[in-house]
Amino acid sequence: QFKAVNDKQLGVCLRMLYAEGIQPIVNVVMNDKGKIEFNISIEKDQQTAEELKKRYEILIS
Amino acid sequence: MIRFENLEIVGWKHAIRGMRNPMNSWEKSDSCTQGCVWCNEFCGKPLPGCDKESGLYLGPNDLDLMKRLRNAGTDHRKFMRMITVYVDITAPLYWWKEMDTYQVGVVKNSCSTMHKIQAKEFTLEDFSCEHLTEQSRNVLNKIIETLNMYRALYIAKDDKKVDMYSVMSDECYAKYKKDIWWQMIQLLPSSYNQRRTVMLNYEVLANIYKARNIHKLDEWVEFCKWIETFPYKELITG
Repeated sequence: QFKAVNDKQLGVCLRMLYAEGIQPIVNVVMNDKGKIEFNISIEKDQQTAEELKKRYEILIS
Repeated sequence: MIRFENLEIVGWKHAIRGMRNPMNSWEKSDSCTQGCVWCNEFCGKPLPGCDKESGLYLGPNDLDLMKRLRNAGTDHRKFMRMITVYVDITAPLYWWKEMDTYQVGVVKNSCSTMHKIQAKEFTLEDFSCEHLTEQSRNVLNKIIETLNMYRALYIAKDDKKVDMYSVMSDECYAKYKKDIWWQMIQLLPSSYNQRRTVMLNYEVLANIYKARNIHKLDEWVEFCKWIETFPYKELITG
C-alpha cells in the first residue's frame, strides 16, 4: 500500500503506522534504475488502508 | 582483510625465571630482558645478538632450554603460557567466528555492535569484500544503502511527531526505534570488520599456527605470516 524511496519517506510511513499500532511488513526492493525502494504493506481492511494511504501521500507531499 | 595494531609482547623475564625453577638453575640464565630503553640508553656492554628495537636478548643457554622444553610438549613448556601478547585486531566477523574457538588463555574485548552499530555511517571500507565479483559487490552496496537508511531513522532526534495533530506515545516510539535497530543488527553481513583488543600467549599462538598455517581463509594465512615476524618465532612455529 505504501512506497518509500528514501529514509525520510520510510520514517514518515513507519511512524504513522506505529502511531496507529499497526505492525508494517517492509519489503526492500530494487527499482529499474537500481535504486533501493521500500514497499510497505499492512494487514488491515481496505478502507483503513485507503485512509492511511491518503494520509501518507499528504505527509510526504 | 585483517589488520594488526599496537602489538606488545611481555613477560619474558618472568617466563625465563619460572622456566628455571624446576631445576633451580637460575645461575645458568644468560638472557637480557631489560627492554629497549635500557638497551639504547644505559647498557654499556651490549651482547652480540642484542635486538635494540625490542630490548630482548635470549642467551644460548636459555634459548636451548626453551627449544628443548618446547619440543617436549605442552605440559613441559609452561613458560610459553607466560609470554603474553597484546594486540588490536581488525577482522571480519566470519574470521572472528573461527578465532572464538580459542577461549583458554585468550581474552578479547570488542567494539560493541549492539551498542555502537549506529555510531558511524556504513561504507564499503567497513567490510572485507576483496573477493567479491562485481555483481556481488553491487548486492553488498545495496545492503549498505539499506543499512544506512535504517541508521538514519535510528539516530534521528525529535521524531516522535507523526503529523500536525499526533505524536507517538513513549511505548510506541520505543517499539519503533527497537524494530529499526533490529533491522541493522540482523541485516549486518558477516564480512563486517570488527576491531577487538586481544590478549593471548605463545602457547595459544603455537596451537593456532599448527592448525591454521595452511587454511582456506586469507585471514588465517595472514595471521600465520604475522606470527612469523615475532621475536624468537621458532618457539611458536617449531
